[in-house]
Amino acid sequence: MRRNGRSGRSGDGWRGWLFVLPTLVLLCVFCYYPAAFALRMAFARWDIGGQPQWVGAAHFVTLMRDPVFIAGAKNLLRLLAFALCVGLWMPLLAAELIFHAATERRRYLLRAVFVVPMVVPLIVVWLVWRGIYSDAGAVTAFLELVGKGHWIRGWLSDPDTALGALMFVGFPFVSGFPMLIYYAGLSNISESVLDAARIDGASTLGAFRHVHLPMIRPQVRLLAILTVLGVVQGYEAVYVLTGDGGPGYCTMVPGLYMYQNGFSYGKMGYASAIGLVMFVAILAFTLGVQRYLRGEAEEGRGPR
Amino acid sequence: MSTRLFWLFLVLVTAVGAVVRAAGGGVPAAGEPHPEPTVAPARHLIEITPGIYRPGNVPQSVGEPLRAFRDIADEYERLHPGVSVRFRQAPAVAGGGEGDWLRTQLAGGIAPEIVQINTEVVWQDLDKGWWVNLEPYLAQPNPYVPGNEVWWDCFADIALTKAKRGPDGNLYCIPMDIVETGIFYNKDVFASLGLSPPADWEEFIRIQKTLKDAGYIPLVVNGFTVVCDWTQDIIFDQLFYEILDQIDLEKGSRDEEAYLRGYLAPKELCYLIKRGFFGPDNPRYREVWRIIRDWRPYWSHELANTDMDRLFLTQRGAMYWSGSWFIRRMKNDPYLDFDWGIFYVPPITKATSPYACGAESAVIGGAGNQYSVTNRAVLDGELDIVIDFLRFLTTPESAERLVGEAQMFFPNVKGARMDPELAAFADIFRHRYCTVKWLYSLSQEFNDTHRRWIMYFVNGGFGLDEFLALSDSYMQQAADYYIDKHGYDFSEYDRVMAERGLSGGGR
Repeated sequence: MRRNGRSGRSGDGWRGWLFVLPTLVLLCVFCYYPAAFALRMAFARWDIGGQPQWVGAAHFVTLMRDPVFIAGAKNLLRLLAFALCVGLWMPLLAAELIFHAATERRRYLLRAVFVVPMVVPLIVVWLVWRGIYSDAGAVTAFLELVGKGHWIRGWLSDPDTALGALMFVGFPFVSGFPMLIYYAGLSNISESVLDAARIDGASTLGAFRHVHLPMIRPQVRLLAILTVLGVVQGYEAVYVLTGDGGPGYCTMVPGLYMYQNGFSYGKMGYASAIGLVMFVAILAFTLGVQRYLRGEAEEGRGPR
Repeated sequence: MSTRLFWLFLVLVTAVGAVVRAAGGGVPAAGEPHPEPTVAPARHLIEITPGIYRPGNVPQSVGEPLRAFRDIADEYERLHPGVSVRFRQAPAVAGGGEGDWLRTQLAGGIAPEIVQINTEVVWQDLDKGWWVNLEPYLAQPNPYVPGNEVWWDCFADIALTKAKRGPDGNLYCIPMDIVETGIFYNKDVFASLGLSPPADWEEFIRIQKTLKDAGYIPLVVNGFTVVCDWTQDIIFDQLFYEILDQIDLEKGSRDEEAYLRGYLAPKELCYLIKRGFFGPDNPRYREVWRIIRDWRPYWSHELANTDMDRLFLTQRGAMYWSGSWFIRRMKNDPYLDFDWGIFYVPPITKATSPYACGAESAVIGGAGNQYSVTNRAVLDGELDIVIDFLRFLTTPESAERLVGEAQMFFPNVKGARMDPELAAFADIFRHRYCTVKWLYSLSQEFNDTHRRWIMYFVNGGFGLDEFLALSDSYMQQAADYYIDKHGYDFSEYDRVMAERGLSGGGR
């Protein structure tokens, strides 16, 4: 009996491994192996097409003094602060708006209005914004219309406005995906809780602050983590809109600097070092958030 | 059992990794010789990224899709059964970064056999063995041109072609055509304001002021190409032309000198940078940037990668500094409703700067589409057939058909006729070539750095002193890198400089 039972479990194990094996192999070949290779190359001078030479921590010492990387990191913090302050909360406002719509039909329509733009590829969105900022674009036309022609400038060329112009891309900052996450969270709040708040005389703002926000805290945290990941890793918008992170280093971000070092200058080792620093920063942030969440859950303060 | 399974899994992953690595092929590392092809494949496949001439492409978004290159390839395939010519589209990359994509392809040994790319990008990676030196083949006859003894003789502008030789003295590209820049202007707007094309720089600036006062964008320019590349080269030439004989330290070969007379080669440029000729203390060099900064108010506000064509076509801009390629748009745009003309950048006189030479402005164009052969041709054992196809492409019939169809450039092949619409640009091209091409002379990193700080400077990020101090710093670094990379010895230049009584600074 025992032997049969053991062999049964063993057989299940084999079958289980066989099912996941293709995925695991592909993961190793396309995700873990390149990452491990890049980790090794971060400690080597490796010009693309050449032979790697071990340089120890030299890249990291250079990086800490590299004015381009430092400027990029500062820009990244500004972009991150903006994304967390605006990009995280505007979808919540939209979700609240939909949640409070009077009828299901209106809720459906509003959801569709916010979600449909998700089908537009981001590259198209960025190209549209490049047009908006051009001398023949909407911003110029609007300022001329309202008699403020003297305010017109090269929004992406002017060192004073380039980073701000980049942040403003995506206005009104209501992305479909976070809005849906928030809406799902709001929809999951028990009717009895909402009724209790109403009976206790909570205003709309009061209910938002004391009922909705605490109940959708997991969604806020999830989106905060995703926002940080997206902003730290992303450089495509900068690349499309300004080409090189200019003028000067006004719109440079570490991701773009990594790309330029790797593919424009062929310095794969240095690019790997930049990638490793970004990886460590993201890992530290994610672990920090997880630890915070675990602590909060253990204290029984937050929803589990 | 589970431990055994885990180890089994690891062995499997390692095996798959090894297979994948082996399948990647043996790409020779830098300095290693290319492996000799062993067995010629039964069928020959030539892959090309043809640039603007890609079949199906609609340049400038007007006119019929191009098909000449496909027709020429079909003809070649008929002549050589077993050969297939396939066209690939290289990704369009912002900021002239087409080399980014290509480097990954070359490193993996999977680049197309023939690629269209500025040969200056090729020069950056000559030490990696990715590119085929075409000199030995150019010394042989082109069998498709009756009576031809050496392929060199097939080119219309041999001096220009030889001037594309890299720092090691070898040619790595076939310059198919010639491109030149010029200033398109709206004749209707000019007539309404009583303006005509300028004779000198001072008049040019006055015209721009008039246009600005009338509510037009006086001159539409693209920041990446026009401001950071062309503008710098032309104004630098105007201000340094008078002392060119003194600072030109090494003559090129007789062939090249016909085209590049007095041109500062990278080695000369490095030497002059290290001797402080282009630093903040050189008043002549300061003037270059003072003139550029003073010119800025007359350009479009936005310089970063916007649709400059549209500003001119919709008549918001009265002048547009573009190139011969824009002729196609101007000739074929069905919505164009104004008369237009072309003139070239007028000379700067001493009324603007005491260092101005007042001579006819130099040109900054030259070779347009340049076809280079990659290591893939060697690895696949297709080099001979690839070279043969390029020879077929450089017959007068092929070149005229290919270049003429696009209506953007003039052919660099002897006997191939130019589209008469491009005559104005052919006239401009007869000017002498500029003193130096600042971008493309040193490293890609220098190009990017210089470009970003020029943009910062012209857009008011900092003043002239700060810009010159900063540019001197990164120019010194770029020169050091280049000198180290090529192992330059400057003792001969020091001797020449001493003979000429120049101590540095170019004053």
